[in-house]
Amino acid sequence: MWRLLKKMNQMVIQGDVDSNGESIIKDKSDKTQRSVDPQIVTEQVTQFLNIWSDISKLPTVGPFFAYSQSSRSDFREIFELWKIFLDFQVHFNELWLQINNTYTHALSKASEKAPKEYNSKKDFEIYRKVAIDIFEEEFTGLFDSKEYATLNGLLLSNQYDMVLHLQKLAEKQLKILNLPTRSELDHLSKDIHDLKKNVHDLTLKLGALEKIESRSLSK
Amino acid sequence: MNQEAYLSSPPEKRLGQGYEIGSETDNNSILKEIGELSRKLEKTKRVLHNAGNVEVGSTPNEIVDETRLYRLLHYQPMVSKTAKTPILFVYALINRSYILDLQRNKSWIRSLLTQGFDIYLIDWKTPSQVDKYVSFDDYVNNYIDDCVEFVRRKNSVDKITLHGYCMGATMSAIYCSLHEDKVKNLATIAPVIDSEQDTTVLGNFSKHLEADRMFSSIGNLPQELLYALFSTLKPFKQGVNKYFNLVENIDNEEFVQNFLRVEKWLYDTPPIAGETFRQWIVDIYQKNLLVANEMKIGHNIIDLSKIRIPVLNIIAEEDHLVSPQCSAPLNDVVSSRDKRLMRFHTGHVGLIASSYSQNNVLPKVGQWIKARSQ
Repeated sequence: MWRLLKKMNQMVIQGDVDSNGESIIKDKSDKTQRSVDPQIVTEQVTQFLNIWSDISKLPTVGPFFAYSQSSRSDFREIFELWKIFLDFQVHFNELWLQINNTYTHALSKASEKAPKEYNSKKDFEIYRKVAIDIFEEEFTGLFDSKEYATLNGLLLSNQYDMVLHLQKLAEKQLKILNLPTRSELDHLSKDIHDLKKNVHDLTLKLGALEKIESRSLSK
Repeated sequence: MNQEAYLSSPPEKRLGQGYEIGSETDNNSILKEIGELSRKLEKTKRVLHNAGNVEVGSTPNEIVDETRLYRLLHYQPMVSKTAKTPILFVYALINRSYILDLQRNKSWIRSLLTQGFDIYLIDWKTPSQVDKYVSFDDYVNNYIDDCVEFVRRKNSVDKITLHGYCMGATMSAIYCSLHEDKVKNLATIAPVIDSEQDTTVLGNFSKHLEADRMFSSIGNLPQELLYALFSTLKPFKQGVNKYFNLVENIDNEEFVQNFLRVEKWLYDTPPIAGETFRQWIVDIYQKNLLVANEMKIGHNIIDLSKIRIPVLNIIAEEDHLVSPQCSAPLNDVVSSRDKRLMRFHTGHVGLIASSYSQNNVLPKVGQWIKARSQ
């Protein structure tokens, strides 16, 4: 408990010093510039959430533990959801930055190669062809890159994780209302799938046996 | 030039600023051009709004077998049968099978029918959340096998020709490695075999996708994700430019109808069963188990070297969905003595649904299959 309080205290102090995620930079003219670093914000919020997760885990026996079990797991899900959402935001910003940089780069290249004068429809056509070729090359290069694919994969994983946590939260409510949950239906789907497979295999075996039987009868 | 450098550059360097319309320009002709363009835009808008009724798949056929996840179509013969062995076409799980019969003059099916083949086609239906656990094992050992059995029974033959496209070609190759006794010839179009050789954008995304996590959270692959993936393939040359071309050619009825049919097919994407997609991504794209003969389906390890029947592998040099380098190794891994690799200068869709395909691909394919179908 003492360790935990100390940790919280440290965090509060750190929050004061760093102005809750705003890094203070002084330039040559001694003017103070404030820029929010999303990475620092994410780290601090994660730290904060971890501390509250620790607090919620404190009682491990007794009536308080028993009665608060359900609400504590809800809180945990919400904290997890929040953390994933922050991750998602960081990945989304990085992905958007890559797209934006590629777009700007393509635009500047296209403007360099564009006709200097537009006298006829043909000049506009030339520009369209040039622009499409350049944009195609730049964006295909982006989509082909390992960096983009990795970020895209992370972004999708964040979304799947968010869905999982939301499902867990929703399932609790469905149970209270005595309605079937997604995981229960999943179990049923799996059972039905396995049963169908078994029936298919048995039908094939039965067919083969019938063939053998009819052959032996005809002899 | 990065974003900052671009923004700090003088305005005349930026697009659309600092450029002047030539002083010699005839104002009347510009006005005329603008008037013509707005007429074409208006017509394009009308055409696109009423495009829902575009007709596809015109070759007469009947549904001879149907389950919750597939329909088996049998096409009516167009000429007297000249090939004894029937063809069973295994379509991919991505988009719909009518691309093989998109329109009369670009129909893969119709061309084979006119060459005297008896054609069956597996038309996959849309899986629902209940089908989340449907796997490669189900597709290969249940659905394809049931269709093969049906065709053998209906035509009173021991063996059939298995013909697959894209993912369907991979499934056909897997099927042959397990049930070669029921197949006389294998003809594949753009199969995914050695994913390590794949250089496409789709391959790149697939290698970084957490398919296990997707399976446990949302189950089936949603169609929206497929749309998003497809829009990263040739995003400007095909994604943007095709609409410029449509506006330009809006008065050409044939062009418009062709455009609408392909557009309808491109965005007619059913979801893919979760477990099948998971295996496709993890086992085939990420671990490359198929070419290493280590992929497991049901209780069986897939060993492509067990294939000894005649194999025809048809690939497109400009395929941007499945690299030709990814498809070609099928010919290296099978043990068949009679095997042929046909390369064509076209793309993934152009290979099966284009005038080029009708004139250059299908005559050769038909000839190869017919020589082995007696």
